[in-house]
Amino acid sequence: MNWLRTFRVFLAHGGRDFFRHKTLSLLNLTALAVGVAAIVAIQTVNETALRSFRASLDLVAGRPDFTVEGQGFRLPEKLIPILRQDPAIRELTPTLTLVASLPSHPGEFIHLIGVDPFSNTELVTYRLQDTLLSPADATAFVSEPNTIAITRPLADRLHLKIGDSLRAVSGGHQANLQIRFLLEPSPDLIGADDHLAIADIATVQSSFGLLGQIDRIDALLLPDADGKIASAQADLLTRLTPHLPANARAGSPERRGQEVGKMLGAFQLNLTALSLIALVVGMFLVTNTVAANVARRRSELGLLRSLGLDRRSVIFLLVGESLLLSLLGSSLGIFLGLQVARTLLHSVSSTITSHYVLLSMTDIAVNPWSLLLAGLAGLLAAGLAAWWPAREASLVPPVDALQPGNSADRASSPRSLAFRPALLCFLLTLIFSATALYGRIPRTGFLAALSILLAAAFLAPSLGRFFARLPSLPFPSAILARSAFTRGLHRHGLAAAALSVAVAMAIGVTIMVHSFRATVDQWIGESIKADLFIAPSTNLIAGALEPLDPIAESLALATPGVLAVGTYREVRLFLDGLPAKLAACKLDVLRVHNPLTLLSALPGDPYELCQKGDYALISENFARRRRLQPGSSLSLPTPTGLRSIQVAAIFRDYTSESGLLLLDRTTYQRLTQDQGLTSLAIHLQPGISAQAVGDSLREQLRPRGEFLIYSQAGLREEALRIFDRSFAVTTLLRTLAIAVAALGVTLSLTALGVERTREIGILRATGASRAQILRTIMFESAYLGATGITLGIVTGFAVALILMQVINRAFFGWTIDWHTPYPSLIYVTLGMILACLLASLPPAWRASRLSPAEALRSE
Amino acid sequence: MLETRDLHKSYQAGEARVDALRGITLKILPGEIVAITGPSGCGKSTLLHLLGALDTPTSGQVYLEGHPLHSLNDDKLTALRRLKIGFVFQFFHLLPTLTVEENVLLPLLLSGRVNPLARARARDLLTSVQLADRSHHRPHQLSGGQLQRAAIARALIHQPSILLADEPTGNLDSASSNAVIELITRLARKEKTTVLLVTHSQSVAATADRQIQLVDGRIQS
Repeated sequence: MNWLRTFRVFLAHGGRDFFRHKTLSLLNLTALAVGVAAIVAIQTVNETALRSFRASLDLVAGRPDFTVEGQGFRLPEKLIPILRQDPAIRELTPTLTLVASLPSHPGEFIHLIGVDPFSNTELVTYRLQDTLLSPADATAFVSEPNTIAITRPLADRLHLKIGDSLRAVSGGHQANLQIRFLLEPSPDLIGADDHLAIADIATVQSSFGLLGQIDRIDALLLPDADGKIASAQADLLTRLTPHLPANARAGSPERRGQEVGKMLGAFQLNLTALSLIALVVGMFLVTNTVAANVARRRSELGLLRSLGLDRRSVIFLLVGESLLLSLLGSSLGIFLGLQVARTLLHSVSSTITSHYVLLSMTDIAVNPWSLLLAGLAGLLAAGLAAWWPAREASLVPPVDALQPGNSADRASSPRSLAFRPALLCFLLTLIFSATALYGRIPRTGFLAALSILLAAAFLAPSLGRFFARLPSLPFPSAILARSAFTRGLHRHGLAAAALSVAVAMAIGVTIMVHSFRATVDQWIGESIKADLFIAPSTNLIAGALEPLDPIAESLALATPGVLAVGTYREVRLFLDGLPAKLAACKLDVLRVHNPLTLLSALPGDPYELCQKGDYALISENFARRRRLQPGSSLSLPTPTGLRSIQVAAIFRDYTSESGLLLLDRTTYQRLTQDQGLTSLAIHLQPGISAQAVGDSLREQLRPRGEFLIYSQAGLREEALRIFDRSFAVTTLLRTLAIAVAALGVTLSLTALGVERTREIGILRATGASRAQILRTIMFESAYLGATGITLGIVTGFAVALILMQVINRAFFGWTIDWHTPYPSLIYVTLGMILACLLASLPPAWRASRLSPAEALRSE
Repeated sequence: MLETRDLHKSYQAGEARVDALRGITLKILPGEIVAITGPSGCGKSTLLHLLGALDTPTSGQVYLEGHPLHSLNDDKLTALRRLKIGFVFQFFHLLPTLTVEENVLLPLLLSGRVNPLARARARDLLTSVQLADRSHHRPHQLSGGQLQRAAIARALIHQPSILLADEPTGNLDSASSNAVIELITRLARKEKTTVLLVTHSQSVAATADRQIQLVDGRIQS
């Protein structure tokens, strides 16, 4: 094949066709752009989350060669001299981190990092600026007591300046810190949390009652004899392990980033999978457009073939046009995606902070490679989608292509897309579901969902044909629409398939979210029995990181009308390589006032077992992920050593994606030496007003800082608010897929409108009025909508089943009870019908305005 | 019954202006069969479109049974086409998913007049065009000649005052052409329908009562 010649033909012929059919080209371009935008938005937000977290780490610790970190609990300071003695360590520096609320600035907090300014000079990636905005010597930190440096964005937001003092509260300790410097992160640390604040580690330790404690030690190593750091790291780890507490995790610093990546993995994978749906829908539309293009230009292609263009060149021509279109669509999609990412930032940031790790994303971090990949995904989707109709076109003999007549009559029958491939896809759904659930390959759950969507797509033409066989309404337009729909099934089949995929996704996600919400709501109703809850105010925006002032417990116990006070402590850690939450409660209070929903337990009273020995209650998702049963044992790394804990019972819980290991408070404190509190649950005597006790406690606690005091209803509301926020992105992605599908309806009808120009002319000549043409196309859209929506609803239930029983179980391990959201389903269905009708209006209007004489001349 | 006065039609083709008709004045009497002939591009089809209320003139007047087609709005033109005009096209143009009988009934379907009487008339017409045994077939099951005969039945189903045929034999072999022309003339005379026939073929034109020859948008004879 002469590529140059073909390319010339492409430029001269295909390029011009692109501009000749602007509406079709623009619709196609928009559909692809929305698909690519969804991917770009999600990838950018995911990227920003990880970069932001890494930037925050790097800001204080630079890029060390080796890190020792306390997981769940802090490390003793005495580790520092042990490490310092090691010959492989060239430089090391400790850090201590905490979250503190700022009572003078309600709702605000600082993520305070204590650093050693004398030992971290080689590692720092920030500069301190003084009042003259000139770089300051780090040692200036220690020249004045209680010195702190905050970021410029935080200073601007809180109207603070160098020289001001800042009251910070954490775990019942208060400190008056003096702002003497502003933090200027190095330019490559884009996305670092603007809540970060830096102080001398001694200041943090003494101000917040953490003497002798550190969180992390970062070290620079001397290379080994071969000049390699990796083997030096391994050797150091071997030497250090005997000296480290059980809860210390040592190794390369990348591990921490990888762990966060792992923690967010399922969350991000879910969003990525959802974002791909919009692109899949877009692919159907591209196939449809190229097929329409082929049909419309059948005789042109026949002419080119008769003039010597070979088959491969025909494919090159058509796929090339599609790629050109997708190049524009992808570029537009990347631009749109970045805008969408900006709007999603706050929601995703809050969700990640609520569920996983403290994160504050202020602006998107753009990774050119991600953008390139998303763009390539758009190109690949367009290329793949165009290839089949292009190949079909290349196989038509030139003499056939040159024959006059209606191209639609000659279009390949959609009958070939029928039951066999649909059955195959259905079987694949079962296989992938089984591998996700029992084969320990959770990601195949998404393939199961994709397979069922494809099965539906294959059935779309058959269902369309079935609808067309039903008696039509006794109106001329309805009768004509039925005939037109039947004949247009080669085109409508693909649009209906795209529509069914979008509707199935919308319905599936709607059922899943509704069921999940209803299950959680029901669980909250059953499991939250306390009348009041107290937590540090930063919990709302920074997650449960700041410890609760212990005075709150004694104040609550001393308050008249209080029957019992339940305590809750929570720390996040990794167990068996998986993220988890370790929690502690006063189980005697829990058993009497707020018993858990136990799913299975050892014989006897599991609460008693936990109170007497090293037993734990575990949440069902914790149990499912680790395949644990009552009686199973697991190792718990604590500051007092590695402890063997036996599972006493499994309970239902929806508070943590990573799962919960619940100990009795006494056991927890004995094993961890941690006396901290995260929140309190207060049970009142009958007849006592929760409002009055809440007000009284608020008043008593006011001098100690800011606290959240929720009533039972308030906590329930807050929990559901967090739930809804967590699914906000899902809703947006669902809307994007529906928007693409609605575009598909417009696209399909527009393509058919172009293809049927002459036929519309015949109808007009035979006496059809403009209104009849308009109604005919709208009825045709109704057939298309009915096919896609009916199939989508049925498939949507299957998708919901896969989301709840396969993907959820494989990734998260929760039990979600099925709740069919009838009103929402009716709204979604009506919304889709309306979208179809609205989508049909432009092509219907366009067709109805065609001049009959012009239309007849189109032959 | 059909009259034009100084009819002009111009198109804009890119930057060039094409004068397709340049002052056509003619009169066609009820029941008359008239052939319009002329070389390609002389304006035959354009004239047919104006007479058939499919297009509006740039200037001049067209009257169909006293109705001024040049000044009616689209709804009124549509109503006239629906009631008074029948079309036969070169490429037959039957809707492929409708049966032959349904295609024939199409004009009545559009005006909501499909009833047992209309169905009986469709069957009569199909018998007249020798397609009674093909009435439930789909268009792709018919030959070119049969398709055109079905198209003629469709053009006459609503008893139009005028039948406009644009190259009705242009896509047929000679045997089918003769049969189609014979059919049009026979049925037109039976139904007392005026026929305007656009054709390249001298033999087809010879069957008409009168011939009008167009050259460069003007009537030559």
